[in-house]
Amino acid sequence: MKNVFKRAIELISLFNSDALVSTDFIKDNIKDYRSLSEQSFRRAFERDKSLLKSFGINLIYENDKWSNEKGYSISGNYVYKELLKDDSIELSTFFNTYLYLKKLYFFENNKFFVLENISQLLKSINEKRRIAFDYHGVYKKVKPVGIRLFNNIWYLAAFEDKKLKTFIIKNISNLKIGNKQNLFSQYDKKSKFSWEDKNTDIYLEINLPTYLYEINKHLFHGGKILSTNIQDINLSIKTNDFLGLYKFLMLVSGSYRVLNIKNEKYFKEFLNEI
Amino acid sequence: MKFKLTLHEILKTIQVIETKSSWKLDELIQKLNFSKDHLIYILTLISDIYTIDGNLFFDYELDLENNILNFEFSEEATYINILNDAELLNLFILMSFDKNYKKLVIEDFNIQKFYEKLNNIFKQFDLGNLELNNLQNINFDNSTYIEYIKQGSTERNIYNIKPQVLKTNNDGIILEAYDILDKREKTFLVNRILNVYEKVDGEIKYRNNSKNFILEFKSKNQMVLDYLDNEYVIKKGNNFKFNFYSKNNALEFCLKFIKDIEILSPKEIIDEINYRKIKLIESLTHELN
Repeated sequence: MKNVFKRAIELISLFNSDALVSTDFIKDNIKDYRSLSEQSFRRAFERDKSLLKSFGINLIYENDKWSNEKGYSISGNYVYKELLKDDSIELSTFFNTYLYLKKLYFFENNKFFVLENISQLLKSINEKRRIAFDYHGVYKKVKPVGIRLFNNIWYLAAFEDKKLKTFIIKNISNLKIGNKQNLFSQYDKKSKFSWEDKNTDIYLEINLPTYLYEINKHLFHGGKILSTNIQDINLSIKTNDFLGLYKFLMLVSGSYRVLNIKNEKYFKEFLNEI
Repeated sequence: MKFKLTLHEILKTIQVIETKSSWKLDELIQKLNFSKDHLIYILTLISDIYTIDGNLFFDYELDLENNILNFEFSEEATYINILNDAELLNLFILMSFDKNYKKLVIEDFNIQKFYEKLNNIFKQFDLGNLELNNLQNINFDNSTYIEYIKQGSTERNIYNIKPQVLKTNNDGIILEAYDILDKREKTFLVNRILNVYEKVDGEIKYRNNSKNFILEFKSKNQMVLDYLDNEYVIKKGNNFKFNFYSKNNALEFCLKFIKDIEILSPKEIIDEINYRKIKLIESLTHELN
């Protein structure tokens, strides 16, 4: 393992500028790789890349058809690079604060929410760059405007042909960022996601044990506490997240009581279809 | 002496050290939170790395008389950075939602500045309905009692555990802990922990009444298979079999993917879901009276 760590550090230190680093350059300049056959080198390199990825450092192969350059770039420190540009930040204080905050909990691999392609998405949103990716086998070119975490799933809101759409980030592959910055104007509002565009909300008031609400409330959105005590809770729900509401009511089955209901037509239609 | 190292520890050591060329040994040990031997082991490892120009990546000298470490580092060493985007996003989430972190943001000027900078960079991130209420009550130093509801269940149980580490899986943040009574490692979904206690009155009874439960289902959605541990899924065309820890786990899975799977067997779970659905439709129709 000692040698793996050494190699990982040697690899990182090859990326000392924004220039792309070719595979041959990597092989020639890492001592452990030099003596390996092409196949063994590929295997060892892929293993080392995976190790770095687990610590948030991504080596990404860039193969831009408009450019002569091909090779690897390092990704994963967009925020740090932004901080370096900011004169109002004392980096050592920032780093010490980071170390202090890190001591509070014991997280595996130092993180608990994993967001794929985080650096590229962050860069494209903040710098208003277009992105392209494969999504369920379909090639998409979109203008990204925001990211949302809901029910442990990360979503991307982006304009595709002037229409705002929602994409599950986990299903995005081969993500590429456009070269040009400021391609579109700032999208000021928190992004509206596709499920918010409809106007079919059911209104429901229910009573249920507080603890059952607490452990299942993440399943749907649109819930609001009307009144509560230690034992139970009165809840108003205004939502068109029918699937989430369905899961919630099915899981607390037998433990809730309906107090009021309006505009249930669309939810009932949904129940008939499911 | 051998140490269990992580890449993160090594990178952290480099980044801390390179902020100045001379360190008091005790000061550095305290800052890094390692033992002296552990630190020396890491330094030996790092000082064995060469740059592409053949120079030492990092060199050090220990002044034993004054207990001072003097360092020389190459330009390459300054590219090492552990402040990566994934970690900073996670810290930002904690600082936005966790009670302990939120308090620190209010009380400490540097932490407030740190949060403001991250908030500005992650301004287009919407963290919706995330809640981390139970995280701050978990004590990693001692054994503790948790009141917990298993997946798919509405029944509350008390567990005496020794918390070990927080992780995430497809269901959310999980606590990996040693069940003192059951004498084995278990995982608990943090959002299903109702309460954390230092002590409880009376004796906790041993309970292991859950039986494995084999579910057979049909699906064309890869997300369903990604959710389960693929290694243990038995496949036959579009039909799959999976051995769940309990019936409640299987039920929770079925409801989670109700639109993406067709349940084939056992009949008792199909009946259970149908029964709950009838009750749901009835509740929307009759209970107003």
